[in-house]
Amino acid sequence: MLCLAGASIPTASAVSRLTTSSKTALTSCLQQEYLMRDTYQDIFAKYPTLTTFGSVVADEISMIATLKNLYAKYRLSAT
Amino acid sequence: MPNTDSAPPDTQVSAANTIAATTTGISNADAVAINLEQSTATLMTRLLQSADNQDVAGAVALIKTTSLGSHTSAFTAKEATVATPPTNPTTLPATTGQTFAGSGAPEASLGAKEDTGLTGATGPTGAIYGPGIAGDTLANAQIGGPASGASNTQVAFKFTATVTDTLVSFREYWIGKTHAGYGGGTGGTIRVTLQTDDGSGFPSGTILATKDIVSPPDDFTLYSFTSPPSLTVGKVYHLVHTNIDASPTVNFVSVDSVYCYGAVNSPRNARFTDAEYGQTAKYGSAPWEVRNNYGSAPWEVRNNFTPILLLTYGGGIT
Repeated sequence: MLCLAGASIPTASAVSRLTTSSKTALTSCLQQEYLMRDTYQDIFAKYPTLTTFGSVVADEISMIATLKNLYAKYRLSAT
Repeated sequence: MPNTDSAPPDTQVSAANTIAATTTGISNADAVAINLEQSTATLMTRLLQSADNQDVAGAVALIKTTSLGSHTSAFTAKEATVATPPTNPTTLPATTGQTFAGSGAPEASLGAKEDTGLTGATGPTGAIYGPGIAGDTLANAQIGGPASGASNTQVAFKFTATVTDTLVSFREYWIGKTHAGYGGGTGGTIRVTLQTDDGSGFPSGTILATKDIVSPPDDFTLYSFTSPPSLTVGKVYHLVHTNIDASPTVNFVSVDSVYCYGAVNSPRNARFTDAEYGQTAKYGSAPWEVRNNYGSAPWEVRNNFTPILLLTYGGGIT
């Protein structure tokens, strides 16, 4: 599982607001992860013998969760 | 428990359907995926220029590394399997009798699971089942700094040259002086030396090139050697990070690596043997040790770390 939790996560006191550029980057990351997850799910549904797609979808779902945690950590809204 | 409902909704369903629709059969599905992974890596490279927050930059870097690494490898291996089916099963090389139960000796020409390392310096030779690089999180290693309790802590990234060429530059994930626990004071001066291997997987002390970095900034700065050293394919080298500040426990920064929790596997990663790629550390005047666990004991073996490292050779290979 890929995540950013653990040794490198700053303590709560280190949390600060994101700049616009970082927020944009974070949003772009999330949308790109959505794109990969949805695409691979489509392909895997069509060709279930291609199990690599199933494995990679699991990675994408994990990464999406990690990115969503950053939204929560920095108290960002969807708008 | 963090509230994760504040993240933007998925707006990519239509685009995903469009991309998936370009898959005309099993034969090109992996190619479609590889193309998407490459596009993702390109996007992440661009985003790294603007992500000025450590967490965000770490996420961007992780996505890029995964796209270029384990995901592309997995799809490439599958694509090769699909694209080159045996034209006549009866012409497959004869085995020496191995069975699924493990009896018999393996047929050498068939390769082996996870046989994609640099052994023999000829590049990938087989398939990986699952991710090539294993990682649960990021983890920093102080260069100098107080964490180890030693008077000065050195950190080295071990790698195996993929070509015979000069090594022009390197890029790593640094966390600077302003981040408590990762850096402090002035940040110090980090001397990065390229050293040969001592034959047992640790730096030899023979220096091929040196780069001094004063108060290293955050993130992924590219550093070039003034006189690029010549490397030989298949040989092991070490990028050794030494804090040469007069007060290295006060003025320091960190390098970040991929980290696996729990018991240490061998090999650490499917893509590389432990001898080919890894991280070592030296505490004060003590000998080098493999880093396997970020903990309190200064002499603890630490195999759980995998360096985040991009090397660029003179011929343009990275």
